Amino acid sequence: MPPFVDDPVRYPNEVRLVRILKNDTFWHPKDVPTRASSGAFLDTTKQNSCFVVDQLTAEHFELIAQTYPDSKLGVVTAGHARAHGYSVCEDNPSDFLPADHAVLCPPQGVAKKDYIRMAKRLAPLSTIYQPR
Amino acid sequence: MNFFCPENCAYLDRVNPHRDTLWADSVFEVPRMVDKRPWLAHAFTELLQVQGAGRVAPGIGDFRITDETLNMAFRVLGSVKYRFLPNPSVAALSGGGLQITWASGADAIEVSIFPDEGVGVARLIDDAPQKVMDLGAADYGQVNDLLADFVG
Repeated sequence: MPPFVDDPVRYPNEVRLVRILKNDTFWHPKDVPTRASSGAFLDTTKQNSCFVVDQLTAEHFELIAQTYPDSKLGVVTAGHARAHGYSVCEDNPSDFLPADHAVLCPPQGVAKKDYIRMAKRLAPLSTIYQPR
Repeated sequence: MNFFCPENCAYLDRVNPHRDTLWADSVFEVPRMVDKRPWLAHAFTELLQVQGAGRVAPGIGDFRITDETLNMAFRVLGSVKYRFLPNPSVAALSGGGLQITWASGADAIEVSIFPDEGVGVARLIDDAPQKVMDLGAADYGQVNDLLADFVG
């Protein structure tokens, strides 16, 4: 596991990051979703896995759709994540997708209530897409 | 079906159907062993189902729920004193956490269980946090403070 340090060179603020949303728990509203829910950015190990959108190909989206047929994609920019306290860090390559794999990490030792607030503030800035 | 009725008494010859301890309409009685919070059994069932469905989701995260995390959720739910609440929705968070949500229209109370760390609870209106608290193991009863606003 690499040290999780914010990397604004590799992930400048304009970079779009996609988080795979597994089911309707992770989007809002559930019936006609317009954005990710806060749960999408509340990984309890404090490592929210994302991929860099611009590196994903049609085959990658097809693989996501096949693996997670009920999923959607939540997209935020690295700048939005930073603005709400997350670090945008490089992670080990994913076995699942060979695209640039990043993690959104809250500060180490963040209080749970502050992490929840961060996730609640980031989620409304996300946009949602179908992975196909 | 409950069994506190004359037909199921082990000593049928001693039964007096006019005694107060017997329930004439036993079929319609609430079984005495069931908790008086109707939502609690639903929540426990949902939690067990979420744990059973927990898997590693490549590219997303680890949705496996440990017994310790589940027990933490049980203890939080057990500390809720309100009898009549909507059935909560239960979901796994990536990383092995749990989220339990009571929702009524735009109002919601959301309990987030962080494995090995503790519990966060938020009162939400239109998914925007109005109040957020950390709960230590000795503080689970404080979830009632937020539920008091929710219940009205």
